[in-house]
Amino acid sequence: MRWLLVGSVLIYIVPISIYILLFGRLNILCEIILGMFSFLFFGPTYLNILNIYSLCRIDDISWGTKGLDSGSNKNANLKDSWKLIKFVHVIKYVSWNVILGAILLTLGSSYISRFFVTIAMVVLIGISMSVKVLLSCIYMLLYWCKYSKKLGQPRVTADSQIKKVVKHY
Amino acid sequence: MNSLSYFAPAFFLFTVHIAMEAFRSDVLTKVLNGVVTNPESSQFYNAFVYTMDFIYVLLIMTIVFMSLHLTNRHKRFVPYIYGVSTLFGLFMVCVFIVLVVDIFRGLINNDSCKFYFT
Repeated sequence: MRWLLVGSVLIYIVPISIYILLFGRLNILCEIILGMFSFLFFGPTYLNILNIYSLCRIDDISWGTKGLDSGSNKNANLKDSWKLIKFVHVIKYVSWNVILGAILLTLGSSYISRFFVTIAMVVLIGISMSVKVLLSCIYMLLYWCKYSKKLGQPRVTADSQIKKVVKHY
Repeated sequence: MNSLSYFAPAFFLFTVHIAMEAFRSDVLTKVLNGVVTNPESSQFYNAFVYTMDFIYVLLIMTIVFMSLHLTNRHKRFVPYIYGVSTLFGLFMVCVFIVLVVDIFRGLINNDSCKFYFT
């Protein structure tokens, strides 16, 4: 079981190796190892806090409301209905997570059920990671076959608009 | 994978629970060796994991409450969210370290795992 968990993490070696072999850039390893800690650190923020905030402000459309802020009776009713929908979604979100958390903690109280819960989670995450790894390998191979001679190794380049925003801040 | 993020708080709670059990057994027993003579019957020792679970749930519920009632520019909301975000990040790094140490120690010693696996 431990090997299964380690293997599901080590599967990331495959695309990294292919990248190093195809593009000859070894310092990607250093970037990945350093980036892993920031990814871990910000993971709960991305998954929990931003999700919760976005769900709780789903009725807030102040960023793009053409004609909806005129204050008419119809628009007031619309906003009320959005607020109601928001509360329904938040209640559903909290309820499902409470139920699932209770189930996981209850099943996790005994070793045998914990084993099956853990293996189910590892298999689920392992499958999704395998799909990502497979697609990334296919993408890198296709890129290398088609564009490597023309464009060199793939780089993330900010266009002029992004550079302007970065400069602004 | 994206649909799993809907249940992220529950999965994170489970991970925290497992990691805190491992931490309690591996670290707390050694730190409190002279204080807690019989760890199995100590209420403080046994309440540690559930206290950490409770703190986590409390933080999540507070985020829900504050997100419902305050905007992202509110003077109370901003420091709270930054603080909780940092706390969760540190929590996650701690969980990662505890689980990695537990897994690799088990692999090296080739013993049957006490917490995460049977």
